[in-house]
Amino acid sequence: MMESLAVATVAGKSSLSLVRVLADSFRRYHPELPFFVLLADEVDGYFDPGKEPFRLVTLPDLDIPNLPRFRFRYSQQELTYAVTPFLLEHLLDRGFGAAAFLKQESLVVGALDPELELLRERSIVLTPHLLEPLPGEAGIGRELVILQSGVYNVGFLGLSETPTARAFLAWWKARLSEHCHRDVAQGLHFEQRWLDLVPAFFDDVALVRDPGFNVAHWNMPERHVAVQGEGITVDGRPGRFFRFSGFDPERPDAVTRYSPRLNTSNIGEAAEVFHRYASLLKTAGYDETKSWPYAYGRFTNGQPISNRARELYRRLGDEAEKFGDPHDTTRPDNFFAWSRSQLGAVATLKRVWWAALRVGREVRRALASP
Amino acid sequence: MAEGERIPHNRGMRDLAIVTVVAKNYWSFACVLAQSLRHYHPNLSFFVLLSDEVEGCFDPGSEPVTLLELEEVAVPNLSRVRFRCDRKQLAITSKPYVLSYLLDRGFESVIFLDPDILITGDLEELFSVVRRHPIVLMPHLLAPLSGGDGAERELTILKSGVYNGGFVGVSAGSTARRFLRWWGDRVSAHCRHDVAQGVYYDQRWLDLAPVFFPGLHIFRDPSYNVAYWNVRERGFRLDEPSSTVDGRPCRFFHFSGFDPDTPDGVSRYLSRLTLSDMGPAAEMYRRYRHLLEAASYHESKGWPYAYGRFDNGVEVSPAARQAYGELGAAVDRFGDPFETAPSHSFFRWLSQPRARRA
Repeated sequence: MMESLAVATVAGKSSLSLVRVLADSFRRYHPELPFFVLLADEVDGYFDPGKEPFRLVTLPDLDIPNLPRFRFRYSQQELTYAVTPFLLEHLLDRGFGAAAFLKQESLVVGALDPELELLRERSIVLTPHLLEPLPGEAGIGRELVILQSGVYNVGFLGLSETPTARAFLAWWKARLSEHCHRDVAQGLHFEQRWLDLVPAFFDDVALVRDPGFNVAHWNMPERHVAVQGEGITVDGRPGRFFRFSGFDPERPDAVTRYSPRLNTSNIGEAAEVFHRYASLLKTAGYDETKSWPYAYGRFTNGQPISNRARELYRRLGDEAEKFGDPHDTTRPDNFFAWSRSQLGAVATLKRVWWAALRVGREVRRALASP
Repeated sequence: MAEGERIPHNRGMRDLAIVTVVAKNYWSFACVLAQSLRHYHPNLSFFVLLSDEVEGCFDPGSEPVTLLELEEVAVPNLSRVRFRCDRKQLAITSKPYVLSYLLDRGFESVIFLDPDILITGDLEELFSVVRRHPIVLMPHLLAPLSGGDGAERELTILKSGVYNGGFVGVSAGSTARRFLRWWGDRVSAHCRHDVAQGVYYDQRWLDLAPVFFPGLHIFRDPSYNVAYWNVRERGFRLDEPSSTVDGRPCRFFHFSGFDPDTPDGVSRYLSRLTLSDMGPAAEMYRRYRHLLEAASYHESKGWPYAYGRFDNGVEVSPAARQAYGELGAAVDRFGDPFETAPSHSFFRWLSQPRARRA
């Protein structure tokens, strides 16, 4: 019974301070529940997993077919998002009756009992970015931003062991094996926009409508945050968890890089939560860990893997099989050498296009002159 | 269909209404929808909002429909909107307003249907779901797609919206009213095809509706709203006397984007599809084309759009509509934008040289 539910997040080791803060904050309110961290990276001797406030899961623990290829398709950010369903599946496979995911840049500020109760009862639990229509012209613009990135936020996602949840995982895994990047015009926003289809595809989907849950820059203007000593309330109800999406502890007044309108002087008492979070990160070793290197960012010859090389690899589809492990530059037929030849050609083409664009601009300018 | 099975309810006329919106060139589509609906529900109130003007092209009294005009439906800022929007946008923008209007007239429940829908079975089950919920929406797809093109087909849906705007059901009450006000505001501000900005006419806004309006019901019965985007998964068969989906009667078929003049085509929204991709549904498309032709499709398709030209006969170009839209409230100084004679007319403004930027 104690182990009936597990909670987990995903991070690279440069985010170790964030997951320490999250794990500590979760354990404070739910000491009886296990908290797992999937390291989408390698330890490489930078820290001792045995001394951390969480249980470590590594990528080979998950059921990811052809892991080197999967890793290579994605940048670090994309990979961290794309492994989410594999992590949730892993927890259910370990025998937990329910599993919840929290994004790494979160802080639990109160007991999550109502939500954890809900996810024991329902197959799939989602948290929407917004709970109600936003007022005024500005509200329409903010709703559009949400439509671009997805109605439901992957800051939290809960599943219980049911055939419906398993069907959802099978589908989401299949989609994220190929499609976990940001291309809004093509209907994609990493792992998140896929969730828009979930209420149409699956029965037994519940939405969390608690204003104290998943408080973040996109809903903060509508949520009244009050801080009294240790206690945090939102709209007069207990605070549950805050998301710090786009928050940079080195620019603690900015709130988020995604919304220049917000800063700690115009978000009321929520500013206090941001200050506390920044100081918790410092205490948890933010300055030390932030520059720890990503293990999958380079070819075996030490050259960095560019996003263009990753995209080129993705576009190859099954043809990429012939390169084996694409990180490996020692094989006679290796992806590194081939990508260099290809990207070189693209670069030349690009210059041609730039020239054509410049001519076009000049023609337009000439036509526009009297 | 047995008579007793057809209309179990003996409710008043005010119980439920169905409405569609067309410009004149789609009049034959509305007539075919009306006829098919009447076949299964002869006593139901069916309304057609004309997002256009009759201009003597047809006799509205000749069909079993009640014609509505934009003025009575009170689309806000109508004199501006009918210029800013093109024909398709105006029809779509009117949807939330005509639903509100029919609730105002006292109907307990109102259902919008796209004009290119053909009713193929009794709808009583759907009606009873609509009566019990403030809002009912139908997803394009009901389950994950299998097959190599599954991801690509789902992405097409994510680009245009999870719920199909061809069907929207509402029942009187504050939730439906809040929804219609919200949707109307959004559609009035943004009703265009701009996927990168999160807009696909009225439809992508609906993705937010299940979150914003608790009580909304997502209707997931495969025998409704069969269309090119889901027909492969629906087990569609053209049995006699009615078509079936997985062995149950097909309730309605949605010929979205169908152009009877492209006989082998399925939809202008997906030109690579042809009738041969439609399997047993191909015959439905042929039958539908014949129904349209019998409803004078070839005559009505050429009827002019009342808001397509300035009063001097010059066509209103997309660029002119866009320039007008971008001016916002500043367009009030032009008066009626279709009028060309006044010295302050929009038409004259368009042909003036643009002040050079510093």
